[in-house]
Amino acid sequence: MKKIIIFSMLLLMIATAGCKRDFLDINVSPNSVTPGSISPDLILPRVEHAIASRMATAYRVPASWIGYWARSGTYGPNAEEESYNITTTFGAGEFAGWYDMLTDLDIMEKKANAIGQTFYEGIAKTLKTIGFMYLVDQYNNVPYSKAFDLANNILPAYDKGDAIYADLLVQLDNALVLIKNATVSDNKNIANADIIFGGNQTSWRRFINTQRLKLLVRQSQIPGFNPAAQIAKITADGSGMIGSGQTASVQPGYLADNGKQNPFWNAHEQLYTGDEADNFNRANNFLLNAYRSNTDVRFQYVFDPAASPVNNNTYYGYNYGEVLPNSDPYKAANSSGVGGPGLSKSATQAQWLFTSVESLFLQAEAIQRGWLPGSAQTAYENAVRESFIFLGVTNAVATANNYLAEALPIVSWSLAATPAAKITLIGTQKYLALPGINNFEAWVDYRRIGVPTNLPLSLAPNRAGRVIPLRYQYPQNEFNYNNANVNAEGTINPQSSTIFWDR
Amino acid sequence: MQDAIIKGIVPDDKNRRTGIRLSSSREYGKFKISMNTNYIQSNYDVFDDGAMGAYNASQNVGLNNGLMNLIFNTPAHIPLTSYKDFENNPFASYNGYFNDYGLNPYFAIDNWRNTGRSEDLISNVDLGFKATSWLSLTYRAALNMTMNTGRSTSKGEVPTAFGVGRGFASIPGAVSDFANRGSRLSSEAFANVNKQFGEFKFSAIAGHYFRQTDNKNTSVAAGNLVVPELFNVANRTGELAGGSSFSKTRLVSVYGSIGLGYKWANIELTGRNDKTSLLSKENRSFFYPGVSASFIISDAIGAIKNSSVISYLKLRGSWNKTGNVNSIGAYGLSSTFSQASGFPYGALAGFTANNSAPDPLLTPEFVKAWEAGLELSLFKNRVGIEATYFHQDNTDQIIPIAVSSATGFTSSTVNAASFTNEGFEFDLKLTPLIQLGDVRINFKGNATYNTSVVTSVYEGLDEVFAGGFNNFAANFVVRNNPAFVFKATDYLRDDQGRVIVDQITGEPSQDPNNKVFGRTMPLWIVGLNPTVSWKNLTFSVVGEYKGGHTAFHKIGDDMAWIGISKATAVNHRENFVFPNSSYEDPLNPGKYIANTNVTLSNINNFFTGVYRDVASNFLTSVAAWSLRAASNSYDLPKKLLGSAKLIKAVSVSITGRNLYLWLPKSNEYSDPDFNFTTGNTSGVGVSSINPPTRTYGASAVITF
Repeated sequence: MKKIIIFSMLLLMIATAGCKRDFLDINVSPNSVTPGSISPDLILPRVEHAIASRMATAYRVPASWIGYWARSGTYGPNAEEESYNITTTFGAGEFAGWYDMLTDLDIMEKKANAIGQTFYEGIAKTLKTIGFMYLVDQYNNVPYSKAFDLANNILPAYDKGDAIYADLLVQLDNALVLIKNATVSDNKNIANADIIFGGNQTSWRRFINTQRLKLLVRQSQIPGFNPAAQIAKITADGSGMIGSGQTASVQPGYLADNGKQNPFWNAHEQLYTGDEADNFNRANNFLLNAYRSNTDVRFQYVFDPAASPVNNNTYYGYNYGEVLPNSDPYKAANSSGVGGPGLSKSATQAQWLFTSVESLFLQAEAIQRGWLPGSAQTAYENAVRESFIFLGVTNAVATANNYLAEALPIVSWSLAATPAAKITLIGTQKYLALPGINNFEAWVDYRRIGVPTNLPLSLAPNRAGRVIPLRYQYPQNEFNYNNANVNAEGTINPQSSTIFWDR
Repeated sequence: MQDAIIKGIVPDDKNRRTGIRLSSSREYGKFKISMNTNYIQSNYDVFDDGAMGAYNASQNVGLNNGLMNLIFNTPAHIPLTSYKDFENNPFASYNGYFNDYGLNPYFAIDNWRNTGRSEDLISNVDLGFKATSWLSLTYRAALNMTMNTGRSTSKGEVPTAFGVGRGFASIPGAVSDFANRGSRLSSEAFANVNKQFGEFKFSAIAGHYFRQTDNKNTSVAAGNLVVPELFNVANRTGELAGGSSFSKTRLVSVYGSIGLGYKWANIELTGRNDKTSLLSKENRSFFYPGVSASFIISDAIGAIKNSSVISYLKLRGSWNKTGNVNSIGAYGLSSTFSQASGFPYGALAGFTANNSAPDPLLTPEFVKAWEAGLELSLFKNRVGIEATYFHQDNTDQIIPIAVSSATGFTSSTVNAASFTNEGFEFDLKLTPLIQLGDVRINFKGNATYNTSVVTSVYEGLDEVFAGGFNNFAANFVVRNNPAFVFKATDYLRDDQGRVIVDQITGEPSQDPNNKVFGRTMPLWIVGLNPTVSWKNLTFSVVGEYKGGHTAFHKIGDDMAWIGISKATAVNHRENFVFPNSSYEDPLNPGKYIANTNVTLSNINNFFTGVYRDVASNFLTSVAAWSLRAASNSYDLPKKLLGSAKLIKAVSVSITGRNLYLWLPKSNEYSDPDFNFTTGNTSGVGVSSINPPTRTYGASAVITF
């Protein structure tokens, strides 16, 4: 035995001593995909899914601030969030989360550019405008022109929010040209890898046009803002915008398995184990009452009935920030969940990313502002009908028409006398149409045009006069790793420091 | 042979270590061959803390990781040990346990287990050939193999309707199996020359060294078992999880040294060139030299040689440079991509860039060190003194630095951080200190002073994160500060250092700029080791002092959340004025008025909110004296062993470890030597660490 071991060691020595020239060239990973072996079709599916997932499930806090949702009676208060007293560690995942996805898009864009896959390049540019829009809408000035360049800009400087928005519109110009002129067959595997539109050029052009309108409507309150040249680009393209039934959604093949469920379903309805996914977020009384006291049946579609109703309160909500005694009988199981049947249809449903509902409301507002031609009333009523259809309301069109005909200020076009009142009406109905669908948009519109006008503030005892924050603080990581640049932005007070479009 | 069964302080934890060692050698004339083989097997069955933490995280439960946290979550009047029988006692069961915010620890211990075996085989063979009286050749081959196989299991639990009503979710039954294998093969050949020319002595070594490491890790897991407690990955729904990875590295070195000696003086030059597969072609080869010299003054100078006071005096000094690339592993020069968030979905793959991007042109890190020292013995070797001064310049240290996520990554491994390290070591031996007849008292003491200064960090960066809890209490490398220091959150303070509170709520707020607190490594380490012996009985004590450094105690934060720490009971849990605080003068912004009357409006919010966000509340000095060990041993007198030569010696002893600790008042928490992770980070204690234990032992050594 001993001899065998010695002998084998000698053999190994001889074998290894015969050094070849590439003897030390063994440092290429056999385990991981590297920048050399990645390709755009391997990046696109995951980043499309990740963006849709973040947009649909990451905005619980704005949903609570804005009166959509509230904390269930099972949980104790979250002092920082409910008193609007936000710090540099609050919501820090937003900054890192968007840059993480934007990094994938940036790598995909450069790779696609290098190998002439222009369709992928155009998609990367388009989706990047969503990411930077979310960053600007929460932080105003952020790294943009110096981002994604570790070798030369390890401490990326910040760009102004308005300059970023201006460049996003330029990027949409470029994306439109790239996609319009792309030869689909040059873009390997795009029919499978593009899990939004399956590589359909017209759909992407509509998406770009709608995204352009969204960036313009954001800036509506800036004095002297003139969107005419940008609107002309939408008109010139001729593909139109996302219309009724044309919701852009992501479908990689969701299934009822660990980590593979539809993101909204998984976050707010049911886990793959069959357990309830969310016993924290519950209906906010403000929204629940806005539906119920105005003959609006949509509360049954955006909210779940209580699992075990108390005192026959099938639909039960909470007041945001209220500190309830432990003796309060309404716990999570006795109140309305936020994954209502109009939103959570199954674990395998596609995940919406840009809904027809939102698009129609954007168009209605643009028409009312005179940016687009057409009847503002028709566009408004179509948008409200689209909301009923999207939620799967029984006899959706008829029910929506009855609702539209009610002589209630919350819905009646004719009761809104002035152009300003009509903008408020469109905004209010957009607010009522988007709970759970796009919580972030409601926070944007509240800051932009002040809807809903009668939103109550948090009942948190330590609110101390604060109001709904106008933005987030820069994340603590920036103070740690990019200190000089973040401090150059000066002191940020989320109670008074505004986003550039918030006037 | 060795066989040890170790039971931890966690109920049901078992660990058994069995080792066998063989060594043999033989000479055939000028040849010599020797061989050693050591095989160690450890079998373990322990609580899987990580899996419980992962479950809590998936439930978004405020409960933190760690078994100790479950105990912190238990009020002091609860008779915890009466909840052992969670299978039959309804009040101890998953559904019925009284605590909404924590599991029954006995249930947790039973549910999540890690079992497995690790095996180490260390063997080497030496071949020697003495060619002439002055030349010898040696070849040495060594093989280290480690094999780890194990599994983590979760038994799983489905809540009853009662449990669901309390908001309890099901715990999936799960199993994860892994098999890791690693080997390290080295081969070394060197020639050694030793030649005496009169009073001069010449020596030289030339050698070649080669090392190859191979690792293969495989794991497979199922997260949702169908038949409970049948731990086979085939017994599942959903997809199989797992992965496999390989790595291989090589290192080739040549080295040599030349030494020259004259009676009382020695000088030696060394040099080594390494080539490693870990670096790029242009950077993989690096050379590092050294020189050392010593003079035995007591031999050189006649007056000292004949002195009755000084029995020995030697001066020594050395300078050397060493290089290494130990901080990176195989394939560490490239960023990578992984599938994420549920991908692949059937035929659809989806990759995302991982968050770290190394500099592809990393170079080795170097240390240039010089030291000077003396060794002195007095009074016929009764007093021994050794003193050394050392100075090290560490340059281009390979470290991962955290970067703004706007760069596209969150961490980048670069050559950064240069720092100097200097200090002295002092050893004192008094043998014997006192001798009274058969009673002999010896004393050994040593002291080390070690300080460091970071001279540069990275182009454009003055500091980097090195480990710990980022944005809370972390180890940092900060220019012009020691390596490392704590950087932690603190209260917002005015220019006089008073904590600024809100004029209405009385509540302080957190400063967004983290501040530098003390060093993480001790400045002073002092060890004292007196020994008293009387005939065959020996009593010895090891005392140790470490001081000048700071540690962070996460348990302070965890205990504040539950309201069981000392701080949360201050002022009988009534509202109070925050000590040494001020508020902004409403008429004079930027000026602050001393706060004497605005009390905290809600101490519950304070202690669960900003108090916990401010890590400086849990940073303390950890200077401490400790009685690390004491032992009492007795050698049986030879005459008791009888004349039979079967047993040559018998020695029995009792020992105690960690017997006592003297902590500063501010440290209400724990022994600071307990760290939350291996690696670079130091001084960060968390609740997943089990508390330090005092141990006693007895042993008997019989020599045949």
